[in-house]
Amino acid sequence: MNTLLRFTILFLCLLRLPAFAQSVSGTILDETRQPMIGAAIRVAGTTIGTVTDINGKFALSNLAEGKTVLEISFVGYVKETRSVTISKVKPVELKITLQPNANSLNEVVVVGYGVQRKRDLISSIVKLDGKELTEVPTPSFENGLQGKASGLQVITGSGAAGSGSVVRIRGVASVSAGGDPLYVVDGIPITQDYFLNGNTGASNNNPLATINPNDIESVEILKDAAATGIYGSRGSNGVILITTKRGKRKGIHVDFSTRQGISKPTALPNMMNSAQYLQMYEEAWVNDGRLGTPSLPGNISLEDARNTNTDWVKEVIGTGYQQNYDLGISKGAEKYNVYGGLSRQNDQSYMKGNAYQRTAGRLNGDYKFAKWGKVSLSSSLSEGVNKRQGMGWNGGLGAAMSTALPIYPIYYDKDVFNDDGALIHKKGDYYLPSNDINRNPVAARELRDWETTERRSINSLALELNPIKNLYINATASLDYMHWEENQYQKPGFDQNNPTFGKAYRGSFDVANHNLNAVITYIKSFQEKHNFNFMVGSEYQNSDTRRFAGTKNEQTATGFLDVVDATAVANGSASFDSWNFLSQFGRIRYDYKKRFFTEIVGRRDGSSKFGKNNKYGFFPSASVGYNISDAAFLKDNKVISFLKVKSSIGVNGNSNIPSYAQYGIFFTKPLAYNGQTILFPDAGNPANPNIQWEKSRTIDAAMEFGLFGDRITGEVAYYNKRSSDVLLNVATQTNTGFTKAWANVGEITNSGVELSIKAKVIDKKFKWSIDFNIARNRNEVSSLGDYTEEAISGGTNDTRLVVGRPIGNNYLVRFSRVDEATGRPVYFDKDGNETLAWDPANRVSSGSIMPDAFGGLKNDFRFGQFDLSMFWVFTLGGDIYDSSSKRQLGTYDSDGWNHRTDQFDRWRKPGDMSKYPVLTTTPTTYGSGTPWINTDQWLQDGTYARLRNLSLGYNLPESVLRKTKLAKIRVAIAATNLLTLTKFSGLDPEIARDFENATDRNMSPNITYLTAPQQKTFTFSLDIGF
Amino acid sequence: MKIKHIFSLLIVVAALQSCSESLLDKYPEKTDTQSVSEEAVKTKEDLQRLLISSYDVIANMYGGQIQNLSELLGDNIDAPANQNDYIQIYTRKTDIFNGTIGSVYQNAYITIYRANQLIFKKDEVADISETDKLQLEAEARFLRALSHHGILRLFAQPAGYTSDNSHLGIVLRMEFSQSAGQRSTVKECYEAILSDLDFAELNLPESNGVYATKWSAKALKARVYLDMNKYQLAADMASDVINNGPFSLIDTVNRFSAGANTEQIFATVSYNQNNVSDDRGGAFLNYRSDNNTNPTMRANAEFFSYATSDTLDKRGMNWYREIGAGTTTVFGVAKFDRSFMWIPILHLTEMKLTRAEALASLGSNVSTAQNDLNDIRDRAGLPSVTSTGVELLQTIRDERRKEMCFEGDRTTQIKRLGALGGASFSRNAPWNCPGMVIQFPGAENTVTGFVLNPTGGCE
Repeated sequence: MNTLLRFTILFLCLLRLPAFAQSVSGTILDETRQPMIGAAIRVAGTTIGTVTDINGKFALSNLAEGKTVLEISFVGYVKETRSVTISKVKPVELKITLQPNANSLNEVVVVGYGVQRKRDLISSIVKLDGKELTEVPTPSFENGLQGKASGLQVITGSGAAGSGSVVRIRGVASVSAGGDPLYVVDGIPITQDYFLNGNTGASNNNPLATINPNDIESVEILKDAAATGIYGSRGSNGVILITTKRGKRKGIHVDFSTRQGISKPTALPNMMNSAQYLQMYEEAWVNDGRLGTPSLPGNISLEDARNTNTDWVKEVIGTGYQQNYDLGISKGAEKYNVYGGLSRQNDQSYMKGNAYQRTAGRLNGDYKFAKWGKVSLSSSLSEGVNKRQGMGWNGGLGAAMSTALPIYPIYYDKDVFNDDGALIHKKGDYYLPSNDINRNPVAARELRDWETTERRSINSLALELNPIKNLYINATASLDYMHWEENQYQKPGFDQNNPTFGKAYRGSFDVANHNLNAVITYIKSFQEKHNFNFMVGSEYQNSDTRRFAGTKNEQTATGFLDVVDATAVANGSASFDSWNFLSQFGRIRYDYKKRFFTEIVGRRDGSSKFGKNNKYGFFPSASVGYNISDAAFLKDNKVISFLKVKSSIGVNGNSNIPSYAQYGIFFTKPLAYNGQTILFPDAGNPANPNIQWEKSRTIDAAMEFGLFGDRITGEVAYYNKRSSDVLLNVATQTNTGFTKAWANVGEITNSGVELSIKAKVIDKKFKWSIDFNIARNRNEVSSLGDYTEEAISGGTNDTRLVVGRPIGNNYLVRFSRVDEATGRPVYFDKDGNETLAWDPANRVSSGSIMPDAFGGLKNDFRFGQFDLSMFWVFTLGGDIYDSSSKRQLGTYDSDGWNHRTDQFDRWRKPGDMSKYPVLTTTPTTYGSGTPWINTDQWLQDGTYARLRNLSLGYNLPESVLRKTKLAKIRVAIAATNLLTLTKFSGLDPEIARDFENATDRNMSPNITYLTAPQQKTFTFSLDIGF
Repeated sequence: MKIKHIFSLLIVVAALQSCSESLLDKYPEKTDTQSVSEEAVKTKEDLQRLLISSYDVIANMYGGQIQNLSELLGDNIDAPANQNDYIQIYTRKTDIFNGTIGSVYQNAYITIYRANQLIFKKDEVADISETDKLQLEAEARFLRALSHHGILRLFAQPAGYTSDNSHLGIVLRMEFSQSAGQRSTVKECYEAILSDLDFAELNLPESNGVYATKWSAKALKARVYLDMNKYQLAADMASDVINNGPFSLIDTVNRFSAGANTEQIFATVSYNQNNVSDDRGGAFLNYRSDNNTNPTMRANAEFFSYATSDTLDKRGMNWYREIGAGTTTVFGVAKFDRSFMWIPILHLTEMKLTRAEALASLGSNVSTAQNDLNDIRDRAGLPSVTSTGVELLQTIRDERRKEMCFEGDRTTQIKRLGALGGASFSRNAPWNCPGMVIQFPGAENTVTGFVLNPTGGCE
């Protein structure tokens, strides 16, 4: 390879002859002022031309004298034309910079089972370049989509390493079936179940975290029915198509980049210290008329408590460290091309002991074995290791914000004896109040090893044949294989019920997702005016999941379990789950002179998931579009350079339900009662042979425009999406003997407007461009059948579906004020009258999980070798429910949570005007029989704007590069989440807690519960290309 | 590349489609422990296993769960420690979110669903005799009655709250169906429970191992009649069990034993043999004070002094334990201080006390009432009484409170006596204040039209 490279360079150097008379020579640079290799220079109207060498140089000689027009072009860049005067006397020397045609309408956009020119698109698709995903360090690739496309809402989960995001395209159209878009990588719908491991340790496994963002060439976001229709019963929440890198460019190219950074939480909780906590606790005790020394949580003595002051927050967080290395090698030739990528990322979050490490490799290649045929391989292998810590309700930072009180020490500071004089705790032992490990997050961290490992390989082999003119046959076979395992080893002492025992747990699942499809496309034009494109296809998909869970609970457990551990297998459980899809689809596209377009799509899906009475569904869509700017009256308009209107209507579905919802299950349990075997139905799973996909009907109308020679481009869109037969996992009446049931009930409407604008504000030596998008979605549950608002709840979060209100509104008793005379909290009853009683009968729909609007604003500046980018994301309106406040600012319970210093603003004597009520140890003071009560006092405006990314880059100038033989060196510094503007008083306004299931995920994304704030990172990066 | 290649591809596609039907049938894996519902109940053995699964749930529900709900409303116990759901019931402000209530309620209706399913499925099974079918149905209907009655006592105002019992009772589930349920009147509820017990009484055997017998149905009927203040019927039914049944009082005061005893009419079973440990002491273990210095459930000071005032009373002397000293003293309960208890849901002591009270109230056959009372007093180490009239009745009620304390009986008696017309209070709350009725779990309210109970209202 080296010899070849050297030879090529030598050969190209030989071409660089001194400029003759009647010659023109020069350098072609890209937008970063890097030399462009292989740019084509052609004398207009002739076949005379050349390409640039490795230094971006070119030379043409023996040209005719006089005025000549040169055309300089490069794939993906705007074609440049230059008029020069050739003379015998003076050779012409040029320096030309090409600009990428990001706004170019000739750009190719990936659509389902095909590609189209952007100019000809009549569906709503946003294309993002892979570079946009990697410019911000993110825990997982989908997080990089945030703020980049109008109507695409991305809510980052938490500051935990590898954390997933809630992604919504044009609102939430589903309830119990997943509301996330369908992810398709290189044509394969991939495994994307967030609940494969349920809600373990206050964190959901993120199946997308193993996808390497550096592998991604482009991402297409399919929004309307015209675009998603081809995905039939799975397209109703939009589709995200991911295309990975291939060896496009001629020659060998190597890119290496690294990023090093540190991270901190975006906010710190204001927990009370020991003295503050004790003062408040004693005040509550006295307020309740209780006598004597207060009995403290965890049975710690008042004296010991006073002598202790542990800052648990400080004990569990530190400085995170992020490292990323990425190497990509590509080679392009006439008959074949290859791309190989290797990448390693280690993201240690600011939470001590928490890290996500990803190692990923990719090999993509195409081989043109004949004029009429090509084979393509796409293959990736990656491993994600998640070093876990308790969080949220499961300990760690969550414990530091709740059950770990500042009055508890970390370790015993002296030996402790019982009444009989026997030693029960040695000095230096972990102090575990109430024998509860979760009240001492330091002990929990040090006494437990816990990690999850995911290995994933996504592979496809595709055959493309062009047997006769205009006929294309594509056949693809693919396998997406995921092996996931969780290992936990609890050292002796972790489980205080068996303090001398070590305990090992192992859970795993293997998901194999097979996909076969064949597509035939035929293109035909008549009289060069009427252009047709016919496509028919067929697809088969199968997904098999095998799970295992086993524990070993004995003194011999000394570390992670081997999967073949006999005890664990004997105590363990295994299960198997499988589903199939079998589909046929077709598309007819017609255009008249590339001016008027229309398209009809149909897909028929059969699925093993659907009940036996509803095996098949049919999903049609139709769209039209018109390029007005091509019409005569706009042809030479000085303002409007491009104008297109388009509209579509279609039906999609959602079939994201458990595999066997149609069947009821019986369990047999030996030795269950009186030593006898019992047989009984599964209370969570009544049979429903009528279960089927939910339907969504979408109408979409949009206008695309370009102004002033496309200096300003943009799109406005309106859509209306009506979901019916919505899949609901309803809480059944207890008296039915069941707890939950799957049913197709209800209707949901989403409608909204979207606006996106790109503008080159200044386009001189100093460049300034703006990329802005904003979307507003209105969401309403229009029917729930015979069910009431109690039927669908977002898990432990008090979110409900209420007819006439948006999905997942908070269903709460309203808080009125603190009574000045007594200090007691005053609530509103259902009719708006004040009452001292907290009664769930008074809950009303209050607050919305959906923001009024959200979007992103990016400003890019470029001057010389420097570039500066400032990227804001924002959310307007919508509410956040700070669920942990009800305890952090509520009663002082005997089982003990630490409180926030906000509570200093409390009632103490008659006449006090305070934000929070009188302190108490008993819930009856707050009008309730139970201490943890939800009210709208904890509901806050969720508006925020966040400086998501600020980066400054410097590209080494060509003059320096020339000496290094490198094509590119770029250094940059960047900060993420540097600044957040919000009135939210909790930790982080952009937050999504752990979810119990898909219903909860759709209904409760505005709820925080001890959720770890996002990471604020500062990174340095280096990119080298040669 | 020729046309024939295209044809072969089309054939592959067509072949794929043709095997589509079988590809789209995916069943859950059938294992030793799991089967699809259509396939699950095929033999007599399956039916019996389904029946035992109902006993299994009854053992959970009556393993202290439902008894504790009742005691928490009553006046025998102190505010529970560290159990928020229990505290809420004790403060008589139960709400739809109370998970403890939800799971007790759920156990009742899971039992009922399984019983209904059994009654429905028995006709689909071939290898079973008509006699066996009748007995299976009788057992199922006994368990259904026991579940409905347990819920009715707590989630609705008692019989007599309205003169014609037209006030709302609970949801009756008398058929195998999953349609929405609405509350029936208390009158309808009692009719349904009694019709199940009539059937059970007629078709259950005299003996049936640890499972329900004719006597179980009669004993439950006696309890139901007393709840309704139908004294003659209660006395007749209790007499039948006392005179004709194979039961006798045990010598010691505590019938909560590890294993069977002669006093149990219907008991749930803890199992501890062949390396299988299945302790069904359940929620009664919340009282255990022999191994816990801070038990969740404990007696209140008032009841403690009432129950222990007579030093001759073996119950008073053996069933309580003072923990701590001074203002922080806790009155622990020792009645349930053992592992592997069998829970006597229906027992001879109750029958005797029921008959005594019924006869004393009727004023007929007073000597039988005195004898029944004295059998119980004698065993407790107390002298016999010879009183009559109101004094006798009061002594019987006192004995009942002391004897059956913490067994989930007291609150029902407070309500029953209130419904008779007298002043009847539980910790200063009148017998019929709204909070004395437990709130339904929120899931009941998932369909339109369901009527919840009011919250609180006992202050």
